[in-house]
Amino acid sequence: MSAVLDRQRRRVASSERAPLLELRDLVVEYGTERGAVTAVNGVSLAIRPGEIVGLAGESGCGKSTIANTILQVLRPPGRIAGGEIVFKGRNLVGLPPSELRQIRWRHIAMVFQSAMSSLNPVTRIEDQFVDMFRAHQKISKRFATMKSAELLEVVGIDRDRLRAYPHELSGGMRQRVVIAMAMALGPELLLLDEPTTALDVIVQREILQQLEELQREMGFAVLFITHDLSLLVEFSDRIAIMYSGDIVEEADADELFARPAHPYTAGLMASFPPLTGELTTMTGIPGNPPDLHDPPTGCRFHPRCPAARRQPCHLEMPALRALDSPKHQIACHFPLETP
Amino acid sequence: MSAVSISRPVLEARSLSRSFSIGTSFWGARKALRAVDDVNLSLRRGTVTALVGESGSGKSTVARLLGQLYEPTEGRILLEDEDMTGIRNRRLLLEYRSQVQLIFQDPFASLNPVKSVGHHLARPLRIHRVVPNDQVDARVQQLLETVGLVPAAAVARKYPHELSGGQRQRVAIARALAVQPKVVLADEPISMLDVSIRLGILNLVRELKEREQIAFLYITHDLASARYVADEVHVMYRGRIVEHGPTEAVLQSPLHAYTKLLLTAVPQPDSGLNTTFWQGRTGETAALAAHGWDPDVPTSLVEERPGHYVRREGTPG
Repeated sequence: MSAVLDRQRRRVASSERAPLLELRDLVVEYGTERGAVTAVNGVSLAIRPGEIVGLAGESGCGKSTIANTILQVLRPPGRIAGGEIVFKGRNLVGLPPSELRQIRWRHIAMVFQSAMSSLNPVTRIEDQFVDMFRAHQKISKRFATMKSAELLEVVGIDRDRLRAYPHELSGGMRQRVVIAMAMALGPELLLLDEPTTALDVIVQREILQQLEELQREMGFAVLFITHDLSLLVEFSDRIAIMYSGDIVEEADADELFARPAHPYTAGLMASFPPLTGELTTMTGIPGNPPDLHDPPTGCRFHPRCPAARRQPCHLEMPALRALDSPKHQIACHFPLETP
Repeated sequence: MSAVSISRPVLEARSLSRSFSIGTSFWGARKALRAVDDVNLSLRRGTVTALVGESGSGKSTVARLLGQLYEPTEGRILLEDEDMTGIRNRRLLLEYRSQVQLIFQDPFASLNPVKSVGHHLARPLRIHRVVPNDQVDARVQQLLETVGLVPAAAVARKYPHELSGGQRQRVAIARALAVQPKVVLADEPISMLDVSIRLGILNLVRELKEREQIAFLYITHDLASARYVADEVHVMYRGRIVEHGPTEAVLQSPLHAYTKLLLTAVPQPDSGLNTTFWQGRTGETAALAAHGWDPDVPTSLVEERPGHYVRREGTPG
């Protein structure tokens, strides 16, 4: 119950403030042997200070590309083909590497899905922390070690474990070590790309709960990327749904849960068997995400959409527009009616 | 077929235990971890039995024991009442594997990237001589259709990298079905797949259970998916079964503290984060104690409701 209240308070507080990060018409392409594919197709998204924004969609919809693009750690053949990434009023696109290094980790930190395997297997946890501190700050080794111990305790790991090697820790613990590292420099924005997907429900619950507590204390903003919408509804203030490179719906978390208007969002919601109540045969979303080399004409979701009609769905790509309040945006010719 | 033979288990684990050596002490004595501790399990025709628990609970070890990838330290494995524990003989092992098949979590790692889908399915057909050589291709297509991969002829020519995760898992299921097994052991078959395609695989399991009368063991940490496919649920914690019974009984009115704990960990969109939840591994015992259970006191399984067993303090009297 208290979590719900916190969420409301956080939302009211953050909705007034200017965005911390703003994506404006971001276009990202990957060059391939069969020509360029557009992985992110003109996405605009704002994250305000202290806000938790969820980004959900299936594999290959472009959600991880967005995270990599924000930090500009996109690997070739990926490239930004258009748009702006504005962080605290400054466009990060085209910034020289030396300036980007100033922003990475100190202002914007990231936890990847495979983060637990991103720790160096032959280096003690302590040394990895110290290296990270000393790469960004002029502090003594002793002080860095002390701060590292504090950080470990913040994420619920005993400070003795500083002497451990990564293989001596469980997957969930390693993931928490990476989260502690991501928060070490007090970033204003944390990018979480499927941070708990490889973990079981219990460890996932522990980590999310810890993240939410840390967020409350430290007040950083979060972009939480996952394919598991049920997690997002619980954890985020606002959610954007991505399909094949576009944001197709965006709304406050409870609004989206109560009345999803895009058939794709509704399909994602209907992909979770219920834990209580009546159990019927469910179908999920038929078909597969489109091939980005040859995306469907019109609305990209139309081949899988139960509500699609020839005209205009097969021909015209729907634009993102306000549904009935500017806080609920949708890109669909025939939004679902509220039950 | 009489009612008795329908309910007779196809594959049974009796008091199955498995310890792993985790190094030696200073004096050279072996230290052992009991990954699976006195597990009893019966898999029946046309039934899905779920084994749920967190990472490290021993649930995958149970699958590997039943698949004869590990040998049990104690206990027995019965296939249609015949003792199959620790078979080494190649012919017997081949025969066992034609009856009991495994499906793994990672559909990316379980297929050979340089072999076509058709090759993956033809191989078990030839090794186990399921059909004459001239009928292999026809059977491959039939298998692909069974798991919903159509057009089958085109899919058979594809390579794993040309398929999505869900499609690869369907190939893995088709491969398991190739030898017409009686039992399929599925170890977290959907946890690496996108949420949107998980239901497709779960529906396939339901369908195969009905149509092929296969006995499924479905291993997962996702209670909602267990509820969706399973007829029976066994909850595992620290190598032991702590509760088992009909799915609805176990999940709607759980008796064991650990089952209740697992249930609270499932994301529930309408309630917000459950902040009364426990903290960290060290808090686990405390949290279980708060639910009225101490993991270190001797226990045994008690039938508290008809067919619904729970582990309680005390030894059987």
